[in-house]
Amino acid sequence: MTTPLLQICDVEKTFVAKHRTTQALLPTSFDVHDGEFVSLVGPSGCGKSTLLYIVAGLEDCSGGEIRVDGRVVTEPGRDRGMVFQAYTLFPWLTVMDNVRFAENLRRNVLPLDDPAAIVRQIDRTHSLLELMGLADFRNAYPRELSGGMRQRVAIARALANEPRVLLMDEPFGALDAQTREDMQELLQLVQLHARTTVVFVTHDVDEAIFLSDRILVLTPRPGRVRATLRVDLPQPRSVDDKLAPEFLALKREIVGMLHENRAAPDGRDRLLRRMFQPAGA
Amino acid sequence: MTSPQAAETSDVRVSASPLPAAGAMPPAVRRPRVRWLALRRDIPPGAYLGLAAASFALFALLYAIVTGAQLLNPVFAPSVDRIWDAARGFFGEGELWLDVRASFFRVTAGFLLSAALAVPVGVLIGSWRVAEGVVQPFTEFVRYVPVPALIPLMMVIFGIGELPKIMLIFVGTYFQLVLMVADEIRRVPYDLVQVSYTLGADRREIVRRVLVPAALPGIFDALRLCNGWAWTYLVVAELVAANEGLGYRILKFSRFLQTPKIFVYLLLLGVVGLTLDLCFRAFNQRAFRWAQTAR
Repeated sequence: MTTPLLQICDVEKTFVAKHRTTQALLPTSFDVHDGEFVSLVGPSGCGKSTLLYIVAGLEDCSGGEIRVDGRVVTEPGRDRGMVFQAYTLFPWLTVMDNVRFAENLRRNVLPLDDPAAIVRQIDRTHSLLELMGLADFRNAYPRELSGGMRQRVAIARALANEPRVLLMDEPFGALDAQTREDMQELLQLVQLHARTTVVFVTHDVDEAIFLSDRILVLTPRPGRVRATLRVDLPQPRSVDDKLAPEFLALKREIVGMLHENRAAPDGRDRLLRRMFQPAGA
Repeated sequence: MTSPQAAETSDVRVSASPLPAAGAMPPAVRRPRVRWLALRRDIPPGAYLGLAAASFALFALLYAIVTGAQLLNPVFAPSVDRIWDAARGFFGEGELWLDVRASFFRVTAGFLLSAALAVPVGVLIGSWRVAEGVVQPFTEFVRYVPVPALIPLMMVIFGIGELPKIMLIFVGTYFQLVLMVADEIRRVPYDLVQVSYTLGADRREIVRRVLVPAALPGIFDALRLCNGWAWTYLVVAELVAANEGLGYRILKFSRFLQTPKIFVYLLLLGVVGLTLDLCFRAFNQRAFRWAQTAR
């Protein structure tokens, strides 16, 4: 068995404030293999985004380590591309230049004596834009784009860099339901063909099942992996599959886990009655 | 549906408005209502210009009435035709233009020097907290030193030529500008820094290719404001052994109570300032189209 592409080994996170420390993430370990799509789901505040930021090298962990191809990483790098929930396009660059940002950084190490390589690169960028449905907007500025298009640019920008693993932090969280499903389908197709390794954070269970090979369910804070579920539905999946019995069974299982520790706050019923029932009724 | 033809057409058309018969009046497009007092909403650009012109005219009119009725001492508030006469007197001689030129040179030299130093230092402070710790508290301290109080020091260090005048304007603007530039850098969303890291940029590349371009519209706006302040320090600067310049001339006229001439120079300063400001604005608008907020 070859080494997994991404290894998360006993990673934990404790936030230290002035008067108290908060354990956000208990020691967590899991592997992600080449070409795999793994989702992290869990209630908000369970540390799933924190974990992703640690993998990206944007945040330090309090213990444990991250390995990419067996090498320990502590700093951010282009081997771990990331798509954020907030719109993070460079507003002064056109769509095309946003996608080529990383390439332009490496302009001076580009094989200038090898025109064919440059042509290949340009061709790839154009294909990527076309694939993401952005061909007609390559000269537009981010502010002229809709939310869904901005996220498509962000994904294209990350993919153009050919990262070893693509980290996605609720990338469709700010989109409307329809756009969100379109984006899920597009991402699935691209991932299926490019065999990009993806770690995807979401709190949308449907989204996780639809996209993933494997789902890790995290517990509420302090987070730890509550369960690992394999999604065996055949790919590519269509939006209709979200109503298939196997899909729904899996969804029921995950939602059940997420609801385990949820209880209505004490006294809410009494409060509701007092506030909204006519006096004397 | 009012027309019988429309009722007969397929249901696709049902929602469309009935087509007018050939030669009929074009459909009346309702003109968008201008909400004059809606918060932060646009008014027609013509109306804006009109209001601006009217405010100038109104001020001139009020001034003419007040001075015409001799409500104020004519020595301090000269009538409009005395100001006009003074202005006509200036056009004959070349002194006015020499003054404009001398002052423009001093202000611009001081301003450019200040910009050339403050922008890089501000970028440094805004990007690294270590640099901020070294520079910012000291800058905040110097910022409150009244510039006129530095005149003797300037003369000791830089003599009585052009240099002390330029340096006074530099000192007056530099410390403000540094802090404004640093603020603009700090205002760039941290998300952009993070995404750049994940795209493989190192710290220097992020400063050069992300923080600076993102903050550039704000930096240029800070420069525009700063250029305005540079002009306000002009009179202070020309207290130092000057022989010409708008500020120097105003001081001289006031010594001899030549108020009509003072007024001409004040108007001239206003016109120069407004022109420069408009130039800055036009440049910013053209250079940073990406930053204009969509309404």
